[in-house]
Amino acid sequence: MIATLSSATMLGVDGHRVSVEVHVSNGLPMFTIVGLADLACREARDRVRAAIVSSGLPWPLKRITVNLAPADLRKLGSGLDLAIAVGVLVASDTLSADAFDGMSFIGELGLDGTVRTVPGLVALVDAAPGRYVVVPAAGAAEAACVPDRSVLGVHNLRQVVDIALGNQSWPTPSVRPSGGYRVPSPDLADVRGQPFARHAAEITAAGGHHLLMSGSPGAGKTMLAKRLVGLLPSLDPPEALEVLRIRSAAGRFDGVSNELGLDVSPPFRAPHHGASMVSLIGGGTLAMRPGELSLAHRGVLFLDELSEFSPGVLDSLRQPLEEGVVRVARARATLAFPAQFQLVAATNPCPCGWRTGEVLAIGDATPRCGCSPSQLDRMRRRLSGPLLDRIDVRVDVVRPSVTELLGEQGESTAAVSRRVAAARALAGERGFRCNAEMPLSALRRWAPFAPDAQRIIETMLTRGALTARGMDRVRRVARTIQDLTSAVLDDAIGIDAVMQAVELRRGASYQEAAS
Amino acid sequence: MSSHSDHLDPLGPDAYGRLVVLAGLTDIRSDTLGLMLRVHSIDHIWRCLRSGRSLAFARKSGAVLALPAARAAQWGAEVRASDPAAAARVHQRSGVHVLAIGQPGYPPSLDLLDDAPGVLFVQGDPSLLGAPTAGQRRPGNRRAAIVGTRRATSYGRQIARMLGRSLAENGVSVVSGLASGIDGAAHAGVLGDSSPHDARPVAVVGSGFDQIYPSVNRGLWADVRRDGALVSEWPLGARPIAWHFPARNRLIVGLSEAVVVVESAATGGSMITVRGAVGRGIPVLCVPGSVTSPASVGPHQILREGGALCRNADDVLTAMGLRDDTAVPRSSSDHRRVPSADGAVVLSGLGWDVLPVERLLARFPGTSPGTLLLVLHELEFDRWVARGADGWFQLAAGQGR
Repeated sequence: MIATLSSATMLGVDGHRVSVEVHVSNGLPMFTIVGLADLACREARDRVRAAIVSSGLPWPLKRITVNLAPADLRKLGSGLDLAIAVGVLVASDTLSADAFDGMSFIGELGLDGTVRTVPGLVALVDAAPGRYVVVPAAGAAEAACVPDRSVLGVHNLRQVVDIALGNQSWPTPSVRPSGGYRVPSPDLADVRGQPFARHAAEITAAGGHHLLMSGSPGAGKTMLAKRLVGLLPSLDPPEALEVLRIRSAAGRFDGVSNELGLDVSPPFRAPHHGASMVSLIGGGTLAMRPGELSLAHRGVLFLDELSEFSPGVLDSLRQPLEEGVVRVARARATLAFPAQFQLVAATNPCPCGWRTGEVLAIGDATPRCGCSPSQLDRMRRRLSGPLLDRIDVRVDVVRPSVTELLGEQGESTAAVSRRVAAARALAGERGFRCNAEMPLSALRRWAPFAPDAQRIIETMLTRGALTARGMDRVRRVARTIQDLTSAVLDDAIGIDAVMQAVELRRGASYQEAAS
Repeated sequence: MSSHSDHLDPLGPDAYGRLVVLAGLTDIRSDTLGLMLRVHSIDHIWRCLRSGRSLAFARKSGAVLALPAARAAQWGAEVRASDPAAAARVHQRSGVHVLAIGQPGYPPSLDLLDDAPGVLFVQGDPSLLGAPTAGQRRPGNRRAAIVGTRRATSYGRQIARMLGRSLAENGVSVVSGLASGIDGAAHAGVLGDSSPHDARPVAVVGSGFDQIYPSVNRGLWADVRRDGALVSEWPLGARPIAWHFPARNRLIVGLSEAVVVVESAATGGSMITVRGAVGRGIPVLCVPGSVTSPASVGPHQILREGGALCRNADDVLTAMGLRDDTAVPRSSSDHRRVPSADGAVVLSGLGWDVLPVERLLARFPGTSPGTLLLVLHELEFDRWVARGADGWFQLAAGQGR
């Protein structure tokens, strides 16, 4: 007899529907699984047999063949266990197929029949056909975030059997989280002084521009970066689901109670500079998991000590910065992981961190820079070029003075994020998520220069102080600066915004060659 | 290059190749070769070494030296294994001129040195190394050295660039070592975008011409070769070994009529150059700096010991006798447009040291960043200020062009 059940398998961050067909016939007792199953998937045979026996059910001493369709899709992991076990029970007439009409099954089985959770439940549930999806009880909260599905969390195989036999009813579907909640982030008001650096952070948050901060240790670069994410608007439900799907695929769903609602905080990822290429861009040999770049999707990727990252890792950032996706090519498959993040990078001005143009007073206890020209040069070479060119906002962060440290607090995150939200709303009216995502043609249309600003730009172009590409980048950032104060979609960019954008392009610069 | 290639070997093809081989012998010091060439012909040295025989030669003091037998044997083996014709071809293809001591074309000012190099390799125009000619209006072959530390401050580099440029404008060839820091900045000033067309830089390097060191100065290296003269004691292929650098400093002194120290630590290569200059009675000029700056300790020390003060190119020209000391100083040559009222206020708040925008804004509370930056831009346009790696700073007249 044949039973067909629905389930799903993962590839990257995408779920794919899988039909589990079980055929039981008379013959020499055996149990085979066909259909491009990987090692963990083939081991299902032993888990399924033990789970069924442990649940107090007879193992059919017949010839059992399991086919996982479509046959050309590689099936990874153990998420098909539950569907195979139920299929065996139905095909051997232990259970009736009627009880499982229109249902999909996802979950790994323990030898004692426990249903265990698997990574990527969000994508799996999304890919599974039918309205009802049976999932491990431990992953029910995660799975319940998927819209248009009713998620039934079960604890063990015996429970499923009892339901099918009518001894027990299905558990109530897990509640889909309503509304959103934000993980609280540190307040911008903690940053004392530094009005220009704060303003730069506000501009990057409003326009979605990438940011590079340069400054001595203790100047407050990390502090600013951690507060930047609080300025970003909350994710909308589809975005939040995208983020959730990636987090789930990486096995990083943090299990925060759904009573609070869907997690709509923009992600903040800060990988250490020793991080390997695979941990950043994703991949791996068997299960292809998303990396830090994808975990920062729709949020902030903070790279502290940018110059300390290996050159290969820095190079691998270029394509995602351009396209918003990471492509991981392996012999078995090429996958695209979403990676539309905002890059926030921090670096010391030199390897030792204490280089400064400021002349220090005698007796000033600030350490002196002891870097050799060749060290400086090596650092500059690492940072220069294509990567730096994609970062539109660069700012020198200086240590706040004593008066600033003891002075009053700056504006709070709440106040600044209101302006950021207004600026993002303007970008939305222009048809883009933020100004950084606006293509050049649209940029020229929405951001004409005012006559006096145009004149300044022209002199800079003729003097070679600005390149054509640089001009476009200035235009983009200047548009954002003006969006923070004006509420007009396409007013001419004034000289004030232009001058700030130019300075923000010249900050944290390593152009002064060692000559 | 082709215009010179006819004169690459006034010595004849044999001598050219043999000199290249001799200069490249293991551990040979070019002054040793110089002493030999003063008393023996190339042909004689070549034949002696070929047959493994030692040679006797004399110092100027009269002391007679002989080549140790082991050394003679080693070099003899190298000479026998060498192919002078091939070496000559390689060097001629790269446009390398070979100047031998005692032969026409050898720089007369180097000939005066006790430790003159036996062979000098030149790429570019070797006539730039000739004897200085008089004439206040259009001096010829007047050369001054600008030296200093590799670990220069941005102030030091600014000054070196300014001096390089101003000296070039006044027809003086700037001699330097093409190291990073002050050396590179001086030649960058000579060869900068708006430099005069008759800038004739001279660079004395510590390796073969195909071993560019430091590689950051690759561009300058090529520019000097094109517009001026690259000089080395070493044939092609010679690596930049540490002891080559102090050795080439004596050539920098030997080729110059004045030495300017822009920045230097109390010990270091530049101070070797200075001692050499003092020993030869060549004027040494020092650029003062901040008393707190470790990079200015060297020049301050020399100033204290009686070095001359260098504030601008005029001071150097005066020391070289190209300017009348009593003439009205040219510091009134500040042709910059008078800054606007706003500009003057911003200038007053901007020191000579670099100030990040954040600090600058703090000095003018209540001013919007855009307004301040616009004023800075205008000042920058008129060369009153410049933007360094991490902030803005004020420029002196004639700086930053």
